[in-house]
Amino acid sequence: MAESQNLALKPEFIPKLSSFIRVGVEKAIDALSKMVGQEVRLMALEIELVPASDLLVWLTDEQTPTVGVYVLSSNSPSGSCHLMLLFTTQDAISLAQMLVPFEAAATLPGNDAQLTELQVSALSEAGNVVSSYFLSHLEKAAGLEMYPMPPYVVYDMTGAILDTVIADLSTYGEASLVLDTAMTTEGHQLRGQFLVMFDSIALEKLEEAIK
Amino acid sequence: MSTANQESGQASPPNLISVGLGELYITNKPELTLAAFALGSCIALCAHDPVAKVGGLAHIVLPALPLSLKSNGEIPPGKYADKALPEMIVRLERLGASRERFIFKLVGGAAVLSGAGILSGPSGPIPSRLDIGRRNVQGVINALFQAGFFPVAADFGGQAGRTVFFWPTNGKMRVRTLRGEERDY
Repeated sequence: MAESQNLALKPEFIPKLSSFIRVGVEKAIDALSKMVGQEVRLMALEIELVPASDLLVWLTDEQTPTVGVYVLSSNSPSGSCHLMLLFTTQDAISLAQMLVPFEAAATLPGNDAQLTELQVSALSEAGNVVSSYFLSHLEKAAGLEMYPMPPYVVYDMTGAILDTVIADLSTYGEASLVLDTAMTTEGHQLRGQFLVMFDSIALEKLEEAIK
Repeated sequence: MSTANQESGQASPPNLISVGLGELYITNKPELTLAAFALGSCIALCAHDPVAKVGGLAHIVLPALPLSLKSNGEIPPGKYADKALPEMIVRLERLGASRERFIFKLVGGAAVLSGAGILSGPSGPIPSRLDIGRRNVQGVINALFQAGFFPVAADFGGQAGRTVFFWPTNGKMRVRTLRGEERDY
């Protein structure tokens, strides 16, 4: 699958990058904890260099109904990255209830799950906070200037949500670095994934900055 | 590529071949069903020869190999519309199909990040770099026109993801969405 450029990050770079990235993810999850008013724990953090075309295979069951909170960083000389919080509908509702506890229900099309406008707005804000903290870490620690664009909250099959991201990554290079993070809370059984997918330009800049 | 019997509320047909991103699958085996799951901006281009009873599916990701990328290695055969179609034709002909009889159908090219699936998002059009579904539809139709073909059926655009099943030896195609819609072509 070595299609084009830049699948050749040095293996020794990955652990270094991993610990650097972990700090950013922890800051982002910590910001989410403050927002929901209880501890959100980082359960797992996987970092892997994956060809864009293989992302879906690596990530998930593509047909699962999913609520995605998606943030694209603005295009800059530092490249760009896609940040995505993914939840099952029930977990999205759990998070939303933690964010705005006394909201009544509304209906997601084709699904029994329910989210109100205010809850959706709160999820959007959660995406904003998480991505801002993560990108801020990249800027402070590695000098990468990437700023979050306004979040989208979208409900569809996981694969359908992600394939635009995958196509965009493929436009800039076949390599993408994926962070797959599982998080959880005590009371609400919340599980979700925080994905960060860097394009090949951002990858090169990251490698330069932290080698 | 994998054989699978993935389900999401509705049963999937037996003997299923899941055609992944950038893959191309051609067959003359009547027992097989080809599928592309959860298409967003991607396109499933389905082809069929009713006499030779051969068909296939290409899971197209982008309209063309980006100019900024140089291809110095193996290109996934179904990934780029401009490369996928000629490759598809060659492989169909290898199994006895004739281009005079080709029938093409296409599915996908949605803007999932800009419409019905969106619960919340910035107002105004999506950034052009994310408007990939529309570019993919144009790319596939252009590639077909340039090769002298016209799709006989198309279920494209909109804002919802789609899953497609294609029966390559009889040319039937079924499209499903998360909202429970099902359409046959």
